[in-house]
Amino acid sequence: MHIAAYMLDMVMAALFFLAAFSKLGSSFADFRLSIVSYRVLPIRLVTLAASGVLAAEFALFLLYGFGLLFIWKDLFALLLFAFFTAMLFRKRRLKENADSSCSCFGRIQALNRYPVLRNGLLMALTSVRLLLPERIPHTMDSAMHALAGVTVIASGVMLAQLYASLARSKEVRIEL
Amino acid sequence: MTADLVLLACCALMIGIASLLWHYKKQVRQSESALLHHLFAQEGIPVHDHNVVIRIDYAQPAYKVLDEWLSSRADSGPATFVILLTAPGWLCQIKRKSWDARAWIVDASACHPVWHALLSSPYTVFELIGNQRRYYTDQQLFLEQTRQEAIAVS
Repeated sequence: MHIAAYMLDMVMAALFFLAAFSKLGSSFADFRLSIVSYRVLPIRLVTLAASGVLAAEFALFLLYGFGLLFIWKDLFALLLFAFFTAMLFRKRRLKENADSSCSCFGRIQALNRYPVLRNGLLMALTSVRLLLPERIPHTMDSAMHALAGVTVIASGVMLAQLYASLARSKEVRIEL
Repeated sequence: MTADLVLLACCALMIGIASLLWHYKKQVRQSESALLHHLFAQEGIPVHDHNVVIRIDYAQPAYKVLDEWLSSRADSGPATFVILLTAPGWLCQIKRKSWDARAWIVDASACHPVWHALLSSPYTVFELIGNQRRYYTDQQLFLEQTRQEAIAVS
């Protein structure tokens, strides 16, 4: 049971970190623009909202990684997914030729392609997690396991980005 | 004692990888800027403070938005507006005349392949403001936003 809780927490943590990290840098403007397209906020609040989502995703990464705020963060995550899915439906209703993908995961198209399905799966995962025991690391061992998991996730995502950057570097080199 | 060591090691690892990533991302940033300057110079396009390169196909709905805006000569857009256009040669020629001073057209089928490397899928718009680079996926949203900002400024 506890292993399942740990694994599920790490999967959620990884997804939140991936989502947050892929919005950093030159992709942030695009994410901000996608919020504009939902037409649910006045323009001057959009940047704040975008930053807020980014901060929430980083926070959820840490909370899931260290198993803190059980129930609360899971309910918050469920609410977030539900809200984003509702926004997606709304966008599709407003514009007939609106593309059905979102830019929640930046360049990682595989995770962007079927957002409703993806969000549904995430909500299912979160619900399952609510049924499993809480995982607050109050022993040194469990704290170490949490730290290890968080390190693997952050390092893994950053290494993948490093690889992508190296590939990109080759693409844009000009033979002068 | 071991716990502190593990904590230190984990932090050091993450900081190390982050630094490496930052370094290579900076390199990519510089390469992309240099590439842009090089490609612009090749086509005789001036580099201003606000530059936009947009990849668009004349069959896309966003093209109508672009055409209407550039042909109307209302509100000024970015100082350097480059259109990487996928369209038959004769259309590129016609639009070169009608969009004249507002935008530069680069024929997507007849240009240096590295133009496509600059704007590789899923990104369709590249914006360079001073030193800040931005990539966008939706041309129509970008055009609407740029137009709104141009109206707000004037």
